[in-house]
Amino acid sequence: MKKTKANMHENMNTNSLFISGEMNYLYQKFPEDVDIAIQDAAQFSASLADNFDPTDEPSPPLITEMAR
Amino acid sequence: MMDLQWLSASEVMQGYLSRKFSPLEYINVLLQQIETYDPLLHVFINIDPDLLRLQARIAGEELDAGLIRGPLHGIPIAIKDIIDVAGVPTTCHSALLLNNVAKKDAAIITRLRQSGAIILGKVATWEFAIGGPSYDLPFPPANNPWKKGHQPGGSSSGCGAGLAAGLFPLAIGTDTGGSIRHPAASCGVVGLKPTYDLIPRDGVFPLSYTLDHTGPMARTVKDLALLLDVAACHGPNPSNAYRGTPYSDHLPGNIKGVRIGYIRNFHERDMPAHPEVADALESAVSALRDCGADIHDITVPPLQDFAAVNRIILHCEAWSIHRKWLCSRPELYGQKSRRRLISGAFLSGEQYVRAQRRRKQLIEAINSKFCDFDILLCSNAMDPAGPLNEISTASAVNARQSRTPFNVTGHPAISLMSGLSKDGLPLSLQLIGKPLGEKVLLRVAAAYEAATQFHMLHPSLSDEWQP
Repeated sequence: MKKTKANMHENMNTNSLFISGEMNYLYQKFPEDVDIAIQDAAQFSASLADNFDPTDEPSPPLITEMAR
Repeated sequence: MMDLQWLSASEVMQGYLSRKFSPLEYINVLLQQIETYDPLLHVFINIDPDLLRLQARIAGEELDAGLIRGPLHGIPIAIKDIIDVAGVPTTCHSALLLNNVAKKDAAIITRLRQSGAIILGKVATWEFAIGGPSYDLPFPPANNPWKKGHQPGGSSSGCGAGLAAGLFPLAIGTDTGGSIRHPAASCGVVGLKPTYDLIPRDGVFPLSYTLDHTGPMARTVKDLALLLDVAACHGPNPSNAYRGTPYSDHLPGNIKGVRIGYIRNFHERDMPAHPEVADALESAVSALRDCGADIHDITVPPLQDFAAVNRIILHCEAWSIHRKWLCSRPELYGQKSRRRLISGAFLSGEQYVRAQRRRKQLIEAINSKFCDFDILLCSNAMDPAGPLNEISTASAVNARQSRTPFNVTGHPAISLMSGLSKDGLPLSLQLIGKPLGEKVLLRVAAAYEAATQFHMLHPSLSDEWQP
């Protein structure tokens, strides 16, 4: 799924890193890289299963549960 | 003396003990091999020949005096350059850390030194184990010795390329989404991503805290086991060496009656593999059946589910590691790292938690298969290695793989060579073990290796590799 330019700007306007100004230098220097990263993040989130209810198991695994 | 470069670490140790050659003679052969081929292979980032000769001379004198420090006495080991070696820069292949001299050894390096190993040098990776292959970094990307101009896989690129080219017998790599098994696959060597945290990560530059694994690479399964004997950690404290029976004691072994579940959906339905890769997998199944294994087809959740979880977790955790540097000094990163790492800034806490919840389901899905099977068999790289200088093609080829599922679940996974393509590039497969089931895993891998003898194949390293 590709994000539109408008979606990208919305993401920037609501992202705490832009609001705080922390992302300003990075965005000024490499706007194209930031735009691509936003598109990638949108693709990543679209590919993730979204079928959990709040009380469903499972809770996130503890590190000690991860095949150890 | 020149054939020494193809000996396994076990054979080198036997050579030392029987006084056929000394550690100094062996190191000199390797240094000659490195001097000849590394100018075009681009494996090493840091190596000190004078110090190595001194260490090899001391190791030889100790052997002559009857002192054997451990199972790797005088054996040289290459280290991926995201792992700290005291007094040497850990550059992570990045302009950002060119002068980042490590103050102390990583836990794995301490263990290697205690076993008598010689730290040979630091070898190429992708920038911060994520941004590569790339030409905008302070060091060039490593090349694949099987075919000039082809990539060796990553991010433990130098480890794979150097093993395949006979520059060293052992290496330590890391694996967050397949970074040990990818170069092992592309270079026709063996690589083990152990059970999560079996080998300590202290002193290893992180990419993703809950997906990172440290692991051994070698040219033979027996050598992987030797290295695991030294490196494995019992419990969460990295100072507690593993005290069980050595992994290498089980090799080679009988696998008659071992139950193997063959995951077909990864390479047949989810991401159809190159025909030569698929044919090699079928041949591997036949070879293992001939060894006495009992093999049945199984289906697990789609590859895309594992990949989605891996990406969200990896990028969120990597952003938390790199946020300050990326916001203040982004120009010091290569473009590929920068683009990949920034994406974590645009993922939410809710998405991270959701990925972790899905992760638990996927762990349970794989664990359930081990009720009926001792080992799982599946594809690794879906294609032979791609070209190095066509970066977009290389990235597309790199994405076609089935390694990330076992970073998500933490199960041990080993990459083995399954033959050569008609173009002379290595093909590969994976075997997966139960959590902490490395002994059975290595036993099956060793049986396959003994049956096929693919580990005896080496790249020709013709004149084109000499500058």
